[in-house]
Amino acid sequence: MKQTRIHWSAAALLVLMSGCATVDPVSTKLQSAKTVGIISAIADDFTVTPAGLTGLDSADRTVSIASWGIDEFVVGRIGAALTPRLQIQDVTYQRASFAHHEPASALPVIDRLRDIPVKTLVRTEVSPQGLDAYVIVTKASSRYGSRGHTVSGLGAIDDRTVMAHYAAVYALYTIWVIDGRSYEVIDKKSASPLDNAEIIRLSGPSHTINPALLSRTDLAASEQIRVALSDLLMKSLEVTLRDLRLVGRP
Amino acid sequence: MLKSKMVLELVVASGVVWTLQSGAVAAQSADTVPTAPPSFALPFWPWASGLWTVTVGAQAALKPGFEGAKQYNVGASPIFSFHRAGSADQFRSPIDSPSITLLDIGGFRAGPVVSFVPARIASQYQALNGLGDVNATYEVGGFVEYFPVDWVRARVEVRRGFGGSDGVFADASTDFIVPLWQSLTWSGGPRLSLANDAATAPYFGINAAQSLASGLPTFDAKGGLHAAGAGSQWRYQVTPQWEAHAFIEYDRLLGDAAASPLTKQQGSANQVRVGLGASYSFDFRVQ
Repeated sequence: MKQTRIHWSAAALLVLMSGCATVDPVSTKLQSAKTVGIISAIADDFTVTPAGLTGLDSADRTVSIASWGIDEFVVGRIGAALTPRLQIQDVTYQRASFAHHEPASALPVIDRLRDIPVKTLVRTEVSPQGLDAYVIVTKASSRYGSRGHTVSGLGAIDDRTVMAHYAAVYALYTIWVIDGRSYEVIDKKSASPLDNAEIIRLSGPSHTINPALLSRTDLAASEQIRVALSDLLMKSLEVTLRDLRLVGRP
Repeated sequence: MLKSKMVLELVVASGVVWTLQSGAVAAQSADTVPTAPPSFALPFWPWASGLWTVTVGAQAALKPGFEGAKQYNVGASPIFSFHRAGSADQFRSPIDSPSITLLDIGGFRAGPVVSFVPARIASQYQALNGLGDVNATYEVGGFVEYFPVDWVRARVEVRRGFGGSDGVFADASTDFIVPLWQSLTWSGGPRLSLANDAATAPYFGINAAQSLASGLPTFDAKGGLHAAGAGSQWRYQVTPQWEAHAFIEYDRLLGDAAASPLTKQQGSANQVRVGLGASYSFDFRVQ
């Protein structure tokens, strides 16, 4: 009986979705806004996470990539997407505060009950105040592998099987739209995977790379990884802004 | 340990789905334009926008008609899950009871579990003639599991029954998880099961009235070690959408579960469960 109910509910949901398939291509969320500040704080570190058949010591490896300028790249892409409908204003902010705004709790349910620190950070760490809205990009997280290891922000999975070796870069982020006067969250959305075909599956965008790229000791100097990340972000930002209805569908 | 599990999987957002990727997909070039999944707009549910995955499938299993039986039945059950794309790839064994993780520290996890043991109907099996029915048992409890590395998991479940059996059950298992390719994973390892007096007696005890009706000698079943065995599971991602899996679980009943006249004279201490299933996953984007 319970299973039948669940099936009917799922069928009803799909029918409802089909019925709504042609509704509202563009958002009205920022219709009254004129001035917007954009903040990105996802690109301080790059973490390589071993998975699959790892050694007994399978610790993550983290390098600083602040010099790659990926946050500036993200701000530029979002600004270009929102212009000329909105007037983009430069803002200054403490990047580190936004980059580490949401430490994961050992009790997952606690994370859902927490107040939203981003709202406070916009009020206390951003200048100038008083813009109509702020668009903020922060790190998101995902689970990966048999044990559900948590990965977040920018990084790579280094996955070994008996017969093969795989690797993928990922860009896990959330875009927040905060009202510049009330500091309420107008909307937020975590970036989705770009498609269902990537060999390494995360809850955010990822893209397969040559595993040999992760074996070099000076990862921070890898132009190929920087380009792969930029390419991934460029493709996924377009989709995520569309999901947020900040831009219309092509 | 050997009992019916609720196979239906409806897990939203943080749900469980077994998805590994086809090796053939690895060759996809960086310039390949991905095939866009179908899109739907839900203007009234903005929180739902993003990429979602639906998995539908079925599983058939051959298993003993009741615990200790030597007759086997084939049963089928649906597989269904609905969750955000890519959100779950965690290992799950066929013997795991449905559970929710509330505590998650590194490789250590814990939370509540529920399980269900269907009623044992005496009229359905000749071996149970005269023993009467045992009502369905609803079990609630908790689990702890630990992954020291990605490829080893140790798990313990402790559950208290309500209904047909009011006893306490505990299952311990270790699984070695070996990805052969990204699309093919083998896992398996040892299992051990314990049950107290109240959990054992309804299924394996024989009182005077039952003895008279069945012809079996009376037996006062006590708890303790209940079963030991091993299990193995294969999962193969045929395509990014199609997944197939197979498993085999073997238990050797121990203690009074094995010593009961029901098991010794009418059944078997060797209990095997074999399952085969397939599922299809598809994505859709909500805007």
